[in-house]
Amino acid sequence: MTGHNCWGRSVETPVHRGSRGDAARRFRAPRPHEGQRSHPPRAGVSLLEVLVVMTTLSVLLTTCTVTLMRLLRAQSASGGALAASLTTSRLARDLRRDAHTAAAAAWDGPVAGEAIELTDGNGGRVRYALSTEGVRRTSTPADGRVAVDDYLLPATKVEWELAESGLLVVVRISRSSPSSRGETGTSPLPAPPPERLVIEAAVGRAVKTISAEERK
Amino acid sequence: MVFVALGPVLHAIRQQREQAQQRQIALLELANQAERLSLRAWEELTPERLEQIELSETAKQSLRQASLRVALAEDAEPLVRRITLELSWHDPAGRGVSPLRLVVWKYAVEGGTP
Repeated sequence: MTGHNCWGRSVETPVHRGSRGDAARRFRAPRPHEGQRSHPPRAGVSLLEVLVVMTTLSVLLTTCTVTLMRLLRAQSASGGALAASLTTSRLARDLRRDAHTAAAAAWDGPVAGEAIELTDGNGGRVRYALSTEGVRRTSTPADGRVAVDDYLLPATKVEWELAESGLLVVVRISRSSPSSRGETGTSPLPAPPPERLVIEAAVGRAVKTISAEERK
Repeated sequence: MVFVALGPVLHAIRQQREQAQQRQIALLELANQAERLSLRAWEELTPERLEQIELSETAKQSLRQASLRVALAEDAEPLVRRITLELSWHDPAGRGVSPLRLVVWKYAVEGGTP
């Protein structure tokens, strides 16, 4: 039997001769059938076919690479936003706790707005100051054991304000958008608007409560 | 086909980020309002005065169709007022988000807050 495969080559199949078994298998030379086109046997593939396959593969690889890069950048951007959100929440919680237990708040340092100091009535103090990568909290309780906490807020502008006659500490946090951080073209997501967060903390809430209870 | 699938994925990621950002702004806004309420004197905590409370500019700009509702109720305990702050807004797709509520108790004792 003779047929043609997908490459146009002749395929030989064994022909059984009566009851002579396997030993009687013979192969017959390919013979073009009447009315059927004969294809010359091909020894390889053409250059055009190779070019088509290579072009297709290169397009597929480029697409996959670009997709992976975009997804990785999206993951990185989301991770950065989550970290900044958690840091801001931690800063808000710590600042409010310190402000509530403080007796007074005042500017600390030569330039107003750079650092703020919260003092309690027992000689302890907590200082919040701007650092190169965010905010630094330095706690110095009455026993003198200093503790330092850093709140990493990259690409963020932090401003302090004392409102309500010093009874309200206001922190304004402005996180620039990725486009303004020079990441245009690297982020696959449309640039979100810059984040503006405000944290307010009333000074002396807990102290006043204690003093009121003591007066009873 | 890959890019067709990538578009909705990136869009969903962006929406999630915006929703998380809006929720944090709303949480901070409610907490800030509570901080300011704690500085008010007992006599100032009347329904008429509380109705005048407005959202901050940051919240107005960041939260779509944001509205703050303040409800004052006398607690069962005498000389205690319960102030409920409720903030509602819409997500980037225009759908209403479940409002956030924060309850503040104010005591008549000078400076006494929970």
